[in-house]
Amino acid sequence: MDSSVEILISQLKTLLIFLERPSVQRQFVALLVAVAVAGLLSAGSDRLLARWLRRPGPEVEPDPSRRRRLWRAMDRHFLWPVHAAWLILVARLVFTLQGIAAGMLEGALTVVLVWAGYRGVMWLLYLGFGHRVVRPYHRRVLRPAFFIGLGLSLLGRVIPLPVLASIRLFGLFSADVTLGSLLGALAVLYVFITLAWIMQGNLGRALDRRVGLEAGVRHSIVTISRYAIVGTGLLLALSALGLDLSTLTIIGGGLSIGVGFGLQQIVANFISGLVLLFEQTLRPGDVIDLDGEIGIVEQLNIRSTVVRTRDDVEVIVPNEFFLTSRLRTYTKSSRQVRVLVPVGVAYRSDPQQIRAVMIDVAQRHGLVLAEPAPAVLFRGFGEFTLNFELAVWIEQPDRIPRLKSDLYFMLWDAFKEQEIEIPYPQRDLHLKSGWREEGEG
Amino acid sequence: MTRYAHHRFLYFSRYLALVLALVACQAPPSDDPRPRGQILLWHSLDEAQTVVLDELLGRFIEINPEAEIISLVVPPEALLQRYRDTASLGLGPDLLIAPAIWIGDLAQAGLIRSLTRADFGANDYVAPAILAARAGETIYGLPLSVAPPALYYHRDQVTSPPDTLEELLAEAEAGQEVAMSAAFDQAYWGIGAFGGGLFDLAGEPVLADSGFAGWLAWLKSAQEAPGVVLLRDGDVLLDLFIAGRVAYLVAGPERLGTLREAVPAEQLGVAPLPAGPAGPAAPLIQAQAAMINAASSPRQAALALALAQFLTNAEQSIILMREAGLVPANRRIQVDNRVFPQLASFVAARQGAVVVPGDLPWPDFFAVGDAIYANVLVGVLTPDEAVCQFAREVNVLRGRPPDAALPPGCPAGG
Repeated sequence: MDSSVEILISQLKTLLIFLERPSVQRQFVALLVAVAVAGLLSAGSDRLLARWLRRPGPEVEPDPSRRRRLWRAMDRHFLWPVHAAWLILVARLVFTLQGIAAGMLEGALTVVLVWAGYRGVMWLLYLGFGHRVVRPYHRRVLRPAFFIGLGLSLLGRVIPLPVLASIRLFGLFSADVTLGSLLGALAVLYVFITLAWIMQGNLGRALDRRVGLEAGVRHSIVTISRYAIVGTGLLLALSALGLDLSTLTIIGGGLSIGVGFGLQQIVANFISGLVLLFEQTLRPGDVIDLDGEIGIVEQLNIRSTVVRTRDDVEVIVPNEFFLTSRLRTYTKSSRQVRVLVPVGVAYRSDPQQIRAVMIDVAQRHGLVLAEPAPAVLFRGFGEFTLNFELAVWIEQPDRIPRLKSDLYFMLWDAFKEQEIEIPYPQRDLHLKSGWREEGEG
Repeated sequence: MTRYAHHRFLYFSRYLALVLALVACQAPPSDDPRPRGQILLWHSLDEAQTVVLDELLGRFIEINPEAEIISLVVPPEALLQRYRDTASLGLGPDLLIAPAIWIGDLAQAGLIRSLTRADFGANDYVAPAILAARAGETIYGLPLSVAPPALYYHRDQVTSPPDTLEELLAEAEAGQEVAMSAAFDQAYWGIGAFGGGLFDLAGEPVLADSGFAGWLAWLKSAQEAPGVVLLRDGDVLLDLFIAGRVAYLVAGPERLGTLREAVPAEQLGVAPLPAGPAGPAAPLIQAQAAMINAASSPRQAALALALAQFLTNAEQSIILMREAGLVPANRRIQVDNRVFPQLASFVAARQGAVVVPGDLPWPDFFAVGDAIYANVLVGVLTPDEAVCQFAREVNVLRGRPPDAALPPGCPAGG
């Protein structure tokens, strides 16, 4: 049998040996009963508290609902561990008086007090910073850290942790992966992923508030930082597993062969993503023309980019596309875009009047920028119309179709009001042999 | 009742019912007298000794196939504290093989089970070993081995080892250098050679005729002699002996393994410690005892006791002596000098060994002794002053007035 399995079995047998002891059984049962009775008591006190809070009377607090929330939160956070603590204390006293080992109960009392302290701290954090801010940190950082620490501490009292950690699970290249190294690697990875998560939220806000960077640059910095932190965590986790640098080189060699055969597209997209992030060719919020359709870059990920079209459809585009294709962007160096609206009017119209009307229409539209000022271009004499183009500048390139539509509506109304004719297409037909009357033959 | 409270009430009611059901489902205790079940054994034996112990455990399992022993080696420096920490929780090993000098502390803390003569089974142990395994009048362990010091010597340098301290000093001055520990517990053996020893059978100090002053005076003169190396560091003394720079070394059997590897067998001799004017040397016994956890279940305690009896019986003690160098505490074993020439002196020294009374806190007691030795050797105290000082400090350790029952000639309030 593998020695690691032997060690594990031996540790399990050790646990069974402990469980056979009357003193352990008594303490264990006392502990479980204390926790259960504490739960029942806290449920009962919750009921009493609820009744008391509903009781009418002069409100001392300026905000009675806040007082209720405070008490109920304290009740739910505190009462269970507090009841458990005094019950365990009583059990320990009884055991000590009867000369029964009570060390486990003493340890359990410490654990319950630590638990109450933890819940108290959480209560204060929730009160101070609000549910929305604290809850993610509670769930992702504080709760796992507390319970993992507590679990290891308790386990260490029963089984020597170094022995448990030294259990060999499997071989990875030249390294022996033990239970300790595997858990250590996972812990390192979790810490770095959590750090990346914390950084992602806070760095973005800090860059926005203090440095005032635009959204695209912000996003790029945050994304690069996130990948750097997770990458560092990954390397450290591999190191914690016991893999040395030369082993990583071997893994890299193996991966390069894999890349050559099957992963090259993924790697190409990955590298393209890095180039896009560093070059800032494309940033979230950019308006681009994607296969003739205007869309806004929503997310720039390391492998692909999410573009939202005007139809609210998300298109996921591999990053390689942006580096290998000709890309039309409306927002690379400036977000200002010129929009041309062609219009034809009848020959009897006054071009000066036309220009004035069109300028007025443009100036009345909220999206049209005052500077550069709208302009009207006389494009020429058409077959049956005088051709003009209204040139306006806007800062929302994704609104071009809507703008054009608005302007046409407004021009139609303005021309109608000013009695400016938009002629139908006209054709002069010259018949060399004249009409042939009906019935002629 | 709010929905939250109602939900919690139901949850904990079910939980409590489950706990009570589990308690009710406990198996009844077995009446089978045969040793069976699983127990945990902790010890701090070295690697070679552990191999021998594992062989013996294998033999025990062969005889008792329904028993299972999980053996764990704990570093000696961590053993006591780890046992205290775990046993106070009701955990820890069922059987602990450890220095018997810990028995007083562990028994006082209620962490080890008391034994009776009936628990010895067919075994009998040398008197000092039983004394070492006692706290007050109660026995708390089965003695496994003892470790009285003896006189190692290089056969190529020494024709015949000295029988008396006077001869030893003379040989040292003549060029046969002697390496001795100046630590109180290691250099305790000469007190009995100059008198009746520090304590009587009841554990009361009898400093007046103890021989303590005479031994301190001899140590002082030995320190000033040209051929005596008197140091507290036992490793340095061992190195000097291995290098052949000293002809004699006073040390216990725990050094035998190292010396067997470093010195050719035909050149390594072991003789009894030299006697003094009042009689043979009386070394402080360093015994290993097998103790049973007070928290163990009756079945586990029975199995642990059966294992302790097995390990300390004559047959297994001989194996431990022969293969692991452990001097047996079992009284039935008498070693022939021709068969085990190096072990015979240690075995012979068992009977004359003495123990520290169980009510004395031994680390403090040794610290007092060390300080007294050091003060005499550097000339701060004369041997007579040192005896008085020692008496006062032992009184304090026992919670008595410092000047209570001082030896004649000691000034009160000194």
